[in-house]
Amino acid sequence: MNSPTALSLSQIYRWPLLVGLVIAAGLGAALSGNEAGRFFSCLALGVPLVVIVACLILALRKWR
Amino acid sequence: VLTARTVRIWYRTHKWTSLVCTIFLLVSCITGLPLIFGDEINHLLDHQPATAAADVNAPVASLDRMVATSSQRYPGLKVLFMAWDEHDPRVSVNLVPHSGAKPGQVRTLRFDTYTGNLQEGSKRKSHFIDRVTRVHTELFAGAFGQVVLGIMAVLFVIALVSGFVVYGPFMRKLNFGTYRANRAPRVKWFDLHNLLGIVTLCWALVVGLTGVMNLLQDPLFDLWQSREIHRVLAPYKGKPLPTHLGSLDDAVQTVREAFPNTQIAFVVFPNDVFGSPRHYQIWTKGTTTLTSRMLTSALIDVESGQLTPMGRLPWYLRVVEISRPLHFGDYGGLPLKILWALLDVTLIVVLVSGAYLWLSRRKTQLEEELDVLVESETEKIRVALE
Repeated sequence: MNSPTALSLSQIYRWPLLVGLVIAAGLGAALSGNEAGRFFSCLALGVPLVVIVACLILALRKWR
Repeated sequence: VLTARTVRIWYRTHKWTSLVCTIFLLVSCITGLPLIFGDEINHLLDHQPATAAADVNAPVASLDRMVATSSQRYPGLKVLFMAWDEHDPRVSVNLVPHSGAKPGQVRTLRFDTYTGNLQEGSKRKSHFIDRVTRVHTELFAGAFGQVVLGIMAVLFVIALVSGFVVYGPFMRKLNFGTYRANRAPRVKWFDLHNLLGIVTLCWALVVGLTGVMNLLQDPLFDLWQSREIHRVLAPYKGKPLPTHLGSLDDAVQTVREAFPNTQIAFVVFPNDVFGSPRHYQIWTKGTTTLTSRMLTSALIDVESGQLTPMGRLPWYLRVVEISRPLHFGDYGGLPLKILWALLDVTLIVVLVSGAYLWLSRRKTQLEEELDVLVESETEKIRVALE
């Protein structure tokens, strides 16, 4: 996964910020107090875990 | 502008703030795991007897009778507070030898809300969650433990922010999510630390900040309450303390009428340590998911039965109340609790990997690597930012 050239800061932080925004939206939705908000919150907080698992699976398949 | 010097400062900030708080955070994360499932664990360990069918329209039993039964059962103790169970139609009556009693001196009796029957088998058999809570919130060290944990939580937040800053220079030649499985263990742990840390950063930041707020809650609340109680008690100056307590049923009914669309959360009986020595302090909460976190209290004079509303909680205590579920993750049922626990475990891996990276360091290789990185890239970073 090594990148041949140096990445810009926007490239480096693009995915972390996107995941962070999804989590923030999920936590914010929790405060809405309704069922839909709580459901969205569960979905949003599942995103970082899915990203971690996906990255690790892809990495392990690549290096196998 | 990020220069080689500022990046180095951020890196050292990240390293030392993380190292100082790691052990405390590990304790918090590990004790936090059972606390996420605190309700379920308590339910499992305590074997609560079944209560009568929960019918919100059914008349509730006399609270005065519950108090009288409790006083007969423990004649040497006095009732300090009553609490309504959040999930079951059950009222707990807590008795103490004196107002400043320690947790181990409290005796609890539980009554069915509708029948008023004492639930003989409901005595708590396990204090596991209580003890874990004490470790999590004060390390069994009281106010000193709270202060220490508060400082550690602040360091944790600084470590997260500085970690976010140094993530950029370290990842400048690596794609997002890189995990070099074919490299040495140290590199693999480094990649894992970066991946798990950056992906869960937002969640960890919220949990850390709400942790700081929760630890500030007690002193801030005590300060506000003492001011309010002082204001309410001013007209009573010089009058003798009441010797007889009026009807609790009437007091609760008065509050129900004064605060419709709320439910009674708990009642603090007259005492000289917290609350008022002349009033029932009755706490109500809202009925929606959000307002159920917001408590409002009213004072009922135990002699005259007169209602004295307390002032509204200040905004900062409201914020703390609303933010509490964002620390414990208990607002979305079991699925969210499981996700919260998995994120907690992820944070434990981040902490352990960070500690491993420091313990396995070889002549501060990371610093040397960082120096080379930032010195060669400072101009590029500066251009990118400008």
